[in-house]
Amino acid sequence: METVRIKDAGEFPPEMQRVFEGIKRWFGLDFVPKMNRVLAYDPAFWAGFGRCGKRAMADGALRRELKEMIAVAVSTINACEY
Amino acid sequence: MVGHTAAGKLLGATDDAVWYEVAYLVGTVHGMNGVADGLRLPLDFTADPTRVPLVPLVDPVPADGPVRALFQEIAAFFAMPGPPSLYRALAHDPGYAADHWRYARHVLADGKLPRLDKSLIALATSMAARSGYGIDFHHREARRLGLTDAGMWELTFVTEQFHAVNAIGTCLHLEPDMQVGLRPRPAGTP
Repeated sequence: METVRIKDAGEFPPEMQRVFEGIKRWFGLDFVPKMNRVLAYDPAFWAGFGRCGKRAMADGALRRELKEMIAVAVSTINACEY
Repeated sequence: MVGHTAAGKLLGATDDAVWYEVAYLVGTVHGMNGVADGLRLPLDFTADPTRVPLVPLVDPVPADGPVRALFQEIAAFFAMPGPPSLYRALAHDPGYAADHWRYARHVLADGKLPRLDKSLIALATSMAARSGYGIDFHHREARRLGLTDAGMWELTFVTEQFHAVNAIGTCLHLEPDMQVGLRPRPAGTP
């Protein structure tokens, strides 16, 4: 059980709503994942972290699909179920 | 973990066989790293005088028939002049070493994923576990197989990001919500 209340997507300001639409397209989902709503709770944190995340996961020398597999490997070692 | 398996599937990696490969790879590499670091085995590609092994290693030169053949096969697979320290340790039980190599070779060889991709996942696994042995070994292997500087930086950024995301998620006990990407698709849908 989460130790904090996680805001619904609709509770965020309009500028973040636009970011959330991009996140839904990025993942091909019809909702905003909980983790993104957590990272966006503090706009000052999101401003840097969100951009780093997008840069890190974009297609580049490594394709995005492989990066998701790398993310799973790291998350496995860290025993992070999310 | 669930979230990014789902994300990978949403991106097109829908074949479960790929995810079995990833799981076998992460598990096998983590097992090898744990033993190699636990026994303080010498790094295979970097001189580190602080790593004094807790056990003697099987000498590849006087090794007898089956062990010699095993060592030669492993060295050839990784394009090394001799077997990795790990197998020089495991070879104290030649049967165990041979059985281990049988599955490790399968896990590390080209499969659904090419060897280069597997070496990158192995390197990230090693970085996440802070395994000195695994980082040394799989970094060299990835470079040998074609990892560029740009690719190395991207792997580094992904690893850094997910260390952070994992810690945030664990700290707040976030429960997975992306299982939607893991649900089987109805028959007949693309």
